Amino acid sequence: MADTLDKATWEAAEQLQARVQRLLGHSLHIRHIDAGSCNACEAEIKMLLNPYYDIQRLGMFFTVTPRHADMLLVTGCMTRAMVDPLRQTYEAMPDPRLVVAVGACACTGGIFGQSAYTLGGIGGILPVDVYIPGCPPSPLTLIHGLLLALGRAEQRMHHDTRQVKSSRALPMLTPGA
Amino acid sequence: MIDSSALQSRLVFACGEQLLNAEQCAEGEVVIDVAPDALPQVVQTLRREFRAIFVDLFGLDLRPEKQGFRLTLVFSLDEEENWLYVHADLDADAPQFSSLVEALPAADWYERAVWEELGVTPREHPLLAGLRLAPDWPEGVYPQRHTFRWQQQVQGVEPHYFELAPAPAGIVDYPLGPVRSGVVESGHYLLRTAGEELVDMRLQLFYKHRGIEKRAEGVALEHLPLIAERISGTSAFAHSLALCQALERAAAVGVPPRARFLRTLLAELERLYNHLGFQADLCQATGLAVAQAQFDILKERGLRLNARLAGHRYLFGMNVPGGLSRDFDEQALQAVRELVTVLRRDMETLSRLLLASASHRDRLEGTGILKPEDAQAYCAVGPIGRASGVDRDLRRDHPYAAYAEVDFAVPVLETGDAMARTQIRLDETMQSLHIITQILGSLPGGAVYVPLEQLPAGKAALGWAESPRGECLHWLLVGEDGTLRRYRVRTASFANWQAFSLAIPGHNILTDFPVIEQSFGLSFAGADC
Amino acid sequence: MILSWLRRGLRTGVLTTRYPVAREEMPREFRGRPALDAERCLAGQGCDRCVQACLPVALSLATVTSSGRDKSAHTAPQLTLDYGRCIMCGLCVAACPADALRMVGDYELASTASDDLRVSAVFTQEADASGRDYEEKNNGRYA
Repeated sequence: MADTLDKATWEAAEQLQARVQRLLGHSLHIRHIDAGSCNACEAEIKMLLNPYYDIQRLGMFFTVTPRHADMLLVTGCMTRAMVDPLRQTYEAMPDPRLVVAVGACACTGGIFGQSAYTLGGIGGILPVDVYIPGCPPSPLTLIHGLLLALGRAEQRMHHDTRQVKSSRALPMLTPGA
Repeated sequence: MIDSSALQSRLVFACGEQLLNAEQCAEGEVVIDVAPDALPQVVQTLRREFRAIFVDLFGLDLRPEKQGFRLTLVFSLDEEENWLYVHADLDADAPQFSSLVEALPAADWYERAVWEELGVTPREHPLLAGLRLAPDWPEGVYPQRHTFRWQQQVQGVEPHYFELAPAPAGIVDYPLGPVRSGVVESGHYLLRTAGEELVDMRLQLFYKHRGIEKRAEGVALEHLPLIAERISGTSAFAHSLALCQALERAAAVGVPPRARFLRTLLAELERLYNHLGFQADLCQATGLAVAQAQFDILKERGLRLNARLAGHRYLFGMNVPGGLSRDFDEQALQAVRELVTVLRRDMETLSRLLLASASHRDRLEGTGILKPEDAQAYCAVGPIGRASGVDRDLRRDHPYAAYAEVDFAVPVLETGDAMARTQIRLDETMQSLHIITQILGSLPGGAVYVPLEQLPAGKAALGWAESPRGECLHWLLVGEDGTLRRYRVRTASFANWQAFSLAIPGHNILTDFPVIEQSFGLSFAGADC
Repeated sequence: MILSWLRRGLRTGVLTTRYPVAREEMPREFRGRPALDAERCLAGQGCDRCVQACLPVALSLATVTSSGRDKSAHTAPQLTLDYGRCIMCGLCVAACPADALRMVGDYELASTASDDLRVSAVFTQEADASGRDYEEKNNGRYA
């Protein structure tokens, strides 16, 4: 959604982002919601609390209510039946609030995409602050994503268009090569 | 070679003229055709005289072949190691059949699904309502009819919700979900309490229905395991295994022995991390924090071993039609041996500590009892069924991969409470370690893959596997172009959720609910798929 | 009983990763993400094996057009890899006949913009590679 904003809106968004980071610079309370996952993403998120990863040492906690949450961590491809519950959960969150899409399904719908059953990820329903690719994203990937949302980690993925000179004189590939 | 001819004769004799046809359709698979009106009687005969276990009921649109709508029931005949299909062809213009729910309560959800998705009517079904499709799905749009494509746009209508009769005086409604506390899947429970005591529960699942069966239609063979894995990510290996075995049966291809043995190894590694995670989740429900951390540590070690072997913590990408996508070298197998040693030692300690933890036991004993007769009536499967006296395990009763070549026990208990479901999984964990040790000690050499030819058009095939939550069935029908025309998945969780409702009433209080839920340890994604 | 559990816990010691303070590596086999080496890629010669192999349509081919100063229109194939759709299955890596795709163990994949998850390669002819603005013509496999 950030890709299509005009200048004024973009500046307002940047200011909000700075404010969010100031406020949330200390601890983070996360509300998870499942918008139609296969459960692998939930399994990895649950592993964040095990002694190997222990995100509580980073000041991150899970909360049971959206009312106390700073961040909505969303898994799943966005099934039809979860649209209303997802919206209501987001609306129950006070400002400032972040939305993080976990896994290929939440980012874009993954292998389900847009279909009679699924809406191609959550991007069309909620404003997403951070996209975490993976299927499922491993706990380290998740930690990086959560830190990125707080401005405590660097983003490594960047849009890139490479121009490659290719000569059409070369013969076509034979199948099975 | 499983001999089905004796079985066929017995069926013909027992069902008499209700049987329109009987034949063997594959090794260990018999199909009988009956008239729709004869279904209830035939089903009764099968259950009474053949001890057939109901496994699945689904529909198929055969109108292009001028055969109307076909209702297929699948039964397991464990002692004969046979699968039995019962086909009833319904009239294309007025497709209906006599509901089986009265005599076979387990058929409930299956009948609602064919009604909703195929448009065939089970007459006198006690509570005919939609099942899997979203509340905003329009009436008259039947996704299992042959013209429906998974990616077509379906315009939503005003959501329609099932109206439950209000609770009688003195009973309080306690709705939970679909958004519930903790990192959990979406699903709704309507609990009803009289004071503290739970008297009833209504389950509303299928918030996560993604149309997996339709997704697989028309898809290239190499993509099918990717779809099957994502039915339920924590049973990814079992589901992709069942699917690949179905494809291999359809293609009449035998996978190499090394592949069968390694598939067994990986399936048990999946069972291990699931059972360890189960104990951790249950300890979380009872507040035994250190125990939860200890089991989570073991689970994490299991996941890391998976990543080391398969490149993926949940074993995605291992099963391909024809075998496995990769082999393991001696170093990798040594890593497995080392973890098995660690787990054996740690499980002994942790089990001992767990079973001696009175605060934990107290929450589990006598809680959430699923009576053996209810488990039978609702065809509970897996460790949930086995904790309630249902002595069935696909690895023993319909061996696949290399299970016929290893030794293992199938623990069964009769008490049916949360403690029994815990004990069964503790025992199964040790059995998994035992199976893995045997596999490592007798692993054959050779290839792990054999390429599959194009699937024969019109072929139907069944694949099955015992996932950590119980038996999963994948049935497929090949279309004209060699891709799937129909894909049917019956997961363990779909079967077990129906039984879950029965474990709630009966001297359980509200705060027992999380313990009962965790002690079942079912998958919403698997059920909803 | 609690004491026994506490003893057990203490004996286990500290297992916690020091990430992000220290780097942590995934095992060699771990499927982090596919990396595209555009120089080796044969999409410019009509190859689309990876696109065919990709179930979630993370890999797609489009035709981009350029309007040159001489008002001529040139088209060039553009291969895009969208990590937001990728399920890291590796089928593209196996399908590629030119070793242009390989799986790397990167796990720091998060992004604040979906566009940052897309990498593209445009395969221009020798003659028309300089000084052109390519605008994407929607000709890809996306629905």
